[in-house]
Amino acid sequence: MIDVLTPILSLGARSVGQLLAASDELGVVDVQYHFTRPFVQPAPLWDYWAWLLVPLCLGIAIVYKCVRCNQMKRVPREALVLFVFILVVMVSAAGALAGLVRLMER
Amino acid sequence: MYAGGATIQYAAMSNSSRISIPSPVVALMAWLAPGGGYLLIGQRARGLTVMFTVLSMFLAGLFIGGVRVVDIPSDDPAAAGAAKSDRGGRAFVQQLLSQRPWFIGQVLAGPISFVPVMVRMRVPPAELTMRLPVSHLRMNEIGTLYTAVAGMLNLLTIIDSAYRAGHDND
Repeated sequence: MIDVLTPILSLGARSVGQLLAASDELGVVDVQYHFTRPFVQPAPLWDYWAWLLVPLCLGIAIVYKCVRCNQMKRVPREALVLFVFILVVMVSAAGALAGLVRLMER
Repeated sequence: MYAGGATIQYAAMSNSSRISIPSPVVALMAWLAPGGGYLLIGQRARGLTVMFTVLSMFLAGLFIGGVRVVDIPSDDPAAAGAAKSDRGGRAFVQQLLSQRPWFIGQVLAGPISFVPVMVRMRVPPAELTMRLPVSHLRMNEIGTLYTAVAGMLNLLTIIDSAYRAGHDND
């Protein structure tokens, strides 16, 4: 079996997008991803996956506050506060877990 | 049993012109069209906001992970014969709960969740991978998460709109 991953990883590919680019550069295999059919094919967002947390939190905050608030005029402000709160907590939790993993790897 | 109903009073109408809508009807409408329950009881801003947000999240999930993030376990022969026998039906439910429990969340987003399933069922199994590719790893997980969270949020609005209808909220 031909080892194709070692030369690819030696180019510094650390994500799916970089892996595809490196594979293509080496001519290992034709791995060009043609995103021609939105909603049918997966979108090539693998290098930005962490940013997909933002619209998800925004949607959750808006719908939750629509349910909780009796007056709709209060929703934008309260949803914004909740959105920021969720983001801060999620990022803090991610940071804490990353720190813990690094600590345990030592 | 009739649990209560929303009363819509139009400004131009007199007090006698009130329309009472039973809570189950409001709940059904909220499932059929996200935010529709609020629209039915006269809460237009709330209904439109919920509709836009839930549908956007569901469509975003399909965009991120592709159409096959919403799927039923029909590849298995037992599931394929689900409609034919009661045993198959039970096998289908078991498989659904053990392999794709998030489909239950996705279904709560309304009939829109059946569109990807119908699209998938129209494609012959031999051409499935070519015509409807499956996403993997994070893209699949995030797409599934978006669609399932949209459905779960819609469940919140179904309960809330039915409650508001039952308690004759303003």
